[in-house]
Amino acid sequence: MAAVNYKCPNCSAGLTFDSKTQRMVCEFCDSSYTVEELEQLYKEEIQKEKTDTWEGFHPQEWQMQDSPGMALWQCPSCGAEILADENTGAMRCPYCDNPTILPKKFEGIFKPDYILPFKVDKKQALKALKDLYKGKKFLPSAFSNENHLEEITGMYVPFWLFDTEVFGDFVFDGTHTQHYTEGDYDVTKISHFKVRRAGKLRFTQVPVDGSKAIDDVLMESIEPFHYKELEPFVHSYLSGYVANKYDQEPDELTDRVYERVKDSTRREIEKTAFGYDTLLPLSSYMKADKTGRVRYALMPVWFLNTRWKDEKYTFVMNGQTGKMCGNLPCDNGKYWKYVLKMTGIISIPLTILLTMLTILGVL
Amino acid sequence: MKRLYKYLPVFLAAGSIFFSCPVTAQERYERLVDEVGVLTQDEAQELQLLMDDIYETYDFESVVYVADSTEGMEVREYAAQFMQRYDYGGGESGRDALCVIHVPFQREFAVVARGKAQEIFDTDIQEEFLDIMEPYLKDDDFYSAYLTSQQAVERSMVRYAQGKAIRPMDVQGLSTVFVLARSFLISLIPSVLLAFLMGGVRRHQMKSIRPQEGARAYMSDGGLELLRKDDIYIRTEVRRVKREKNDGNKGGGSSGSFTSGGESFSGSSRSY
Repeated sequence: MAAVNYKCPNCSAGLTFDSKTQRMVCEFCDSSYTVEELEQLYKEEIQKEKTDTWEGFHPQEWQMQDSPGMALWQCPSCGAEILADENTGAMRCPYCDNPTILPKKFEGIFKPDYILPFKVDKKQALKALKDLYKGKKFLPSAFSNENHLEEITGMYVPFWLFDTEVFGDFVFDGTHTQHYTEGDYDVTKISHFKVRRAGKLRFTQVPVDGSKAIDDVLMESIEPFHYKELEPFVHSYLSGYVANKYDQEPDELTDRVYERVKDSTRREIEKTAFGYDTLLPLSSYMKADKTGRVRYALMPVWFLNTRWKDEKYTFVMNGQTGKMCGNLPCDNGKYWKYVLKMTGIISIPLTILLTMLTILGVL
Repeated sequence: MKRLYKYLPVFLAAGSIFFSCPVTAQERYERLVDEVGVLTQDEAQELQLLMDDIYETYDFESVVYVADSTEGMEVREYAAQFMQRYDYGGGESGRDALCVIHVPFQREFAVVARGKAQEIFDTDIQEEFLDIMEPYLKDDDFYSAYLTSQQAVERSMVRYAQGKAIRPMDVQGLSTVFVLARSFLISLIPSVLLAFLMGGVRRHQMKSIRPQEGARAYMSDGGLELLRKDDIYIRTEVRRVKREKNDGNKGGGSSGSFTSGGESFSGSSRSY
């Protein structure tokens, strides 16, 4: 399969996309180029087949029969054969570490509409992980002290961005309550109203990740992405990072989209029924537009995997905003010590207060 | 008739021996009056001794009156008239007295203060007296109820004699150590709950992988387009609840100052 290295025009070393400068940077001679300059230089390179193949012959992707879902491809720099997931479209060669892109993975129906370039680099990702540990009283000391960071990968994750519209029609039983005294009686007056609200709400670019291998909840945790910085897709942004094409189509992902947009629509409609003491839902009808627009985009995410006590911990960081998420292990011993300590700290002044009030005759 | 008068001293002496009560020259009447006969001889004697001791030590008269009925009167008023009729009281004015009255057949009891006792035993302290007696009265353990009240009077007088105000814990018979221990046990409950809450919050902060609630961040500009808005009145429910008359205290009692026979008293009463 034809793969592409973006090579430095100056020294032929590998070029990678630098999130800080938003330019393609040579790892060897520090030369830098804009994405547009590089695209112009390598326009023909991307469309070229392997030079040592016969004109008219199109080599097929070789699939290992014993490993379904895997694909074999060749590094254009060192010629090594690399076995990778069939959805992988960009990676670093494990032999020569050169960034390599497989343009065919992002062509035709698999060509992304947009890409959100990385803004946060690896150093910032590592720092953010250390910041995540700070102030966590129940984090086992061994976890933060012993650096078991196994893998840190910058990956462009395939996302589907849904535009849709939701119609909602709700009926509530709203009440107004009055309390007053009339002679020897306490009177409570409850007035009931039939409250009906109907409306529609448009949503744009609701994201859902289109990769089976990546947990949807993990990706939702690092939202939001700021779409103003979306760029039209260009291969060179992928250089230096891993990138996968989607393996889930939009129709497979609509349940979660509808769940989220319907929830927001319900809340917005409920807000319009204000001024009541209580609002009890009686009936509801909601319908999401199933023919809205959908776009395909690659979003930047840092994955940091660490291992502790034979358990794998995955932390993810939004490659644009720097938002870091992950579940940290909890040391139960530290937790119980904390509870006992706080019980002591709170109970001592409380005891003194109660005793003084009793002695003084207030209690 | 002459023979009767001749033998009267003998009868009086025999009577005093029979009751086994040291009748001194200072005493005019019994401080324990049991019209119903709820106490045994030994119980009556023990109570009488205690009340005599209080009088001799503090020049303060504490009285227990077990009445057959209040003859239709309010129980505190009845006790006040009882104290006036028999002129109970000590101190400079000769009127410093506290009467514990119990009417078993009416299931009522009260504490009434006369003279300086109104300052020593205010209504809050009187309520404490009722609190410590009530459980015994409910169990028909009348002797324990009266004994508890007189022991409380004694403790209170000890404190009063030191120039200190009487506190509820003095009536209850609680030591400072006991109060401290009890306060600690009581404070443990909110402390443990609060500590668990704080620990739970910190533990929750360790997990930051969470699904998004809704899609508010992706709502289009302009927000919700409201197509229908109806607020239709249906009906009104009216509930009327008669207010409970608050006579002041638990168990349908009364508390406060009052006048009887031109003299001021204070007292607290309760039914059980």
